[in-house]
Amino acid sequence: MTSLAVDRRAILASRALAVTRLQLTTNLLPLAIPLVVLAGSFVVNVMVFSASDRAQAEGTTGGVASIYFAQLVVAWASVHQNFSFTVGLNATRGAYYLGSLAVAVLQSLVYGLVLFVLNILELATGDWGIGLAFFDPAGLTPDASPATYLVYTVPLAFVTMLGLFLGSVSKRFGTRGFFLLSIAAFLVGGLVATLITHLNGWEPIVEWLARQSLRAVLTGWLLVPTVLASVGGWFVLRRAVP
Amino acid sequence: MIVAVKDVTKRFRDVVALGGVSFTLRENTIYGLLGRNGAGKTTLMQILTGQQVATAGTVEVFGEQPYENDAVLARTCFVRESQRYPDDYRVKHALRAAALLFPNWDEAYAQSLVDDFRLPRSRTIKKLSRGMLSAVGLVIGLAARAPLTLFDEPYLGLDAAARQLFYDRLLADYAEHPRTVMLSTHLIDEVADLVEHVLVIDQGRLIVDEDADRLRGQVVLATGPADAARAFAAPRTVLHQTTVGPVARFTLRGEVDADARAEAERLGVTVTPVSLQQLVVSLTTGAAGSATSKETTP
Repeated sequence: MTSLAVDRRAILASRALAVTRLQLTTNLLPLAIPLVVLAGSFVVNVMVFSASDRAQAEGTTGGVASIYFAQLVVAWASVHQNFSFTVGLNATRGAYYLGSLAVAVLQSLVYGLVLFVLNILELATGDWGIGLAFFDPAGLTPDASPATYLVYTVPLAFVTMLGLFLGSVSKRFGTRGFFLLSIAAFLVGGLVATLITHLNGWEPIVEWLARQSLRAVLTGWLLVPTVLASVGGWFVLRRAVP
Repeated sequence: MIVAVKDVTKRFRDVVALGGVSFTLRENTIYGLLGRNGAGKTTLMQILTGQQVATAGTVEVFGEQPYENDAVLARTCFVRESQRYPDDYRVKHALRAAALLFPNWDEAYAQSLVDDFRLPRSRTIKKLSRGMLSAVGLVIGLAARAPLTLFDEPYLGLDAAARQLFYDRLLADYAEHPRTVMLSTHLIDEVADLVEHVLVIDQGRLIVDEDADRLRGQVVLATGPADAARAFAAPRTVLHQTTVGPVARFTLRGEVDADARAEAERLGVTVTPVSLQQLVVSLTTGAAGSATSKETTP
């Protein structure tokens, strides 16, 4: 590798770092939104479960999913909010995207940690004393092991990367282009499903899925679409005009 | 030479935004990029900053092609009229972001400019008036101190006092921190004394690439009795002509030396310099957009 190539990488890294710092320090509101949504969902659930009779409070809640949806939307919107601004101030698309990926990874790690710690509290307090299994509605995170941390964090990384990818697509192709591409994606998906049916392929797929534990899917296999989304986002965005 | 543009063409589907544009930019010079709406000024600046890619031709900025080039773009600042800011950004957020992205950023200078332009630091950018929005861009463009700074119609909605402030600050800072500035604007007379070199684009073609002082001497207004004026105009390039009764007025291109002045005097023709704005108007109102087209206004 020539020294020029090394220089280029060093400059790209420093520019990407500037983008990361920009997103993490200038305006904290978008970073707080997923946590605020989660807190709101939690408070509502606490009120509902407190009000109901303890003996009957055997119901479950999907309230923890709120942070995943919020994060998906925030990541999607962040491309629309930040790309034109940052590239308009002459960051390269590469620096913007690398910096944004770093933010995405950091967000996933930190929010995952928040969920992990709150789950430990939930375990310690016996479902908050009101039978509210908010952070473990499906019995997937019954302990404080590293695997439990990953069960929270990997899906967070997935929705964040998916948000960046969808944001890149709608930024590059516009709203109309995004809808057309969505329709095309549905058609292709339908075609693939029909093909699988035609080839009697569902049985082996279902059998394979049944052999995987849900924890393994959430912590392992989900990394595949996560990486695909993050790489795909770059290929879409690198020709976008701010 | 810090910018070299060669045969750059940009097509959007079947529209030719730029057709075979070539020029160079010297270090530490203020350039005026002039032309009518839709002439291709913004597209040219976007290509110089790698935001658009030319369909054909080569662009070199600081000796390298600018597209996705961090080393080049870190030394370039492009302030445009339509710069977008995140919805919930306040003025101070935009400045903090600019401080992170521009290596030569001068925070103290930026703060003094914010005071000069009377910008409310904590107001949401969305809620700023059009003029204040423009001022945010001007502050960023000046305080970035980028070796190549491009201003594209930077002061939409700014009042005359604020525009004057911008010219004053630009000149003062330019004297202390020389850099290459390219300024595109429709307020040509206002920047006539500011720009050192003039580029005029018309319908995607570069029709003037000339030192500002020399350009001013090159185009004159010859007024006099129709026959005399026509005789004086005959060997020269006529950009524009009007006849009112017995009096004709020709806008002419070409050096007018002492001999020519003597001839004009003999013919009874008055020769006066035209303003830069007049010049650009007469160069860019031709139907064909060509600098040499003769046109007649009845």
